[in-house]
Amino acid sequence: MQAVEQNAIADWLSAKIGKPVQIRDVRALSGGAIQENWAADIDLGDEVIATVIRCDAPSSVSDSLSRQQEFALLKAAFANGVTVPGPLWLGDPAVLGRDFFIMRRAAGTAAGHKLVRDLSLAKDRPALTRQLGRELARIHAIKPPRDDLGFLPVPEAHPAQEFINGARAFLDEYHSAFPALEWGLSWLEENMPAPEPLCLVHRDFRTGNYMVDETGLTAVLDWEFTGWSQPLEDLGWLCARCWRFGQQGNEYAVGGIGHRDDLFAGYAEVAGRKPSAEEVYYWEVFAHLRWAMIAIKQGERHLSGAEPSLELALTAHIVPELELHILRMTGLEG
Amino acid sequence: MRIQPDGINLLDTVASVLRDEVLPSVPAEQQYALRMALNAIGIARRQLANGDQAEQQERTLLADLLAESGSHAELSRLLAARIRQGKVKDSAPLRNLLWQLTLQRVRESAPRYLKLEGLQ
Repeated sequence: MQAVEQNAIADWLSAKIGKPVQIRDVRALSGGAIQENWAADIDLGDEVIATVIRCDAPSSVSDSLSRQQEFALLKAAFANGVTVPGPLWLGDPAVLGRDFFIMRRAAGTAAGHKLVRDLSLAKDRPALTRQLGRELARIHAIKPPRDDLGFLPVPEAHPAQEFINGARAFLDEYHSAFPALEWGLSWLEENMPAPEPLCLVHRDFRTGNYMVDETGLTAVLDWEFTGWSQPLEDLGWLCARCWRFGQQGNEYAVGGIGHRDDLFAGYAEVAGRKPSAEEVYYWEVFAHLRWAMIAIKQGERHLSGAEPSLELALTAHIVPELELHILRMTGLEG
Repeated sequence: MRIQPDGINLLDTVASVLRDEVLPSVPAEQQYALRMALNAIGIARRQLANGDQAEQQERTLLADLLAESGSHAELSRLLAARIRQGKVKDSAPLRNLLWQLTLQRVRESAPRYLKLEGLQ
């Protein structure tokens, strides 16, 4: 972040809260293609707050939420007892020429490959897995309608059917066919569970998107894909094979760190309802299809020349193993 | 005739140099990029080694089983359409073809998956 931007934020915040503000030790954090994150210490005179300043990146993805909307979600989740970085101030877009907000900085790391192997982090893995279940149940306790979350579209059909329709419409226009994904979409349509009442669903709750330190979970991050959907969608996403960071076997089914039984038990502690592995299985298949569709779109950002990137190019090459896994999960094996 | 060593040999040699000589001395922040580069070289190498033969065989099988003619891309789209219409579920040969087509993509893009899942 340039000094001129730091000063602009300090001046704006100072005017907002009515006392002098100094911003120090600003450094870039790994963000992603959608947003930039900066660690910064904000000195209010009587208090120094460790914060993260989260801004839109110059190239934003259209189907993710704005910083303003993400800030509203953080506030709603925080108020409901979800372990999120405390939301502090929503920025005025005029200050940087793009959206930003400031939140408290959580301790620890979100790096998935480190978490699954470094057992000094969140030592008690069954406890961490149960806590992930409790966090999800607290998110799902947020129900529509909510004036503060009015920007989230309410699905008109079953959320799984909306996904299937969107995926088919995309594939019809795309330059390459994906017969295995078509197979998976048909399976999703034929095996769709009866709809439950809508609730807030994080939609990217996986290892890599929550932070842990030696004591355990410190923050649930990355709320830019959150929406109204079916609660078990989040459990299926977290249990999908793609987020296990190379760990094999049922004891690592939950994001490479734990067993489904612990996740469901933690969920039941708060939700008062224990999901079954069979119910969640549908949403695990759904997760692989949803990730495959995202991977195709990410690969296309490279392929189209819009954003040349080795990482995006390789993301397209994840699709075949997702396809084969989907075939195996849906009873087609040669 | 092209001079030897050929493209496959060169990619193998580049991969060895990167893996054995460069990777150990690269700072941790850049190792991810180098591992991605090695993964990409592996995919390119396997595609080059396979040539167009596998796709030609697949095209022939697709044309036979779908009883239509066309390019690999056109026939793949037709297979996708038949799946959506529910016409593949009850056809063992088409189900098997779908499995084989997908398996072949994995062999090129992510053979590690087959090894981990015991599918080789």
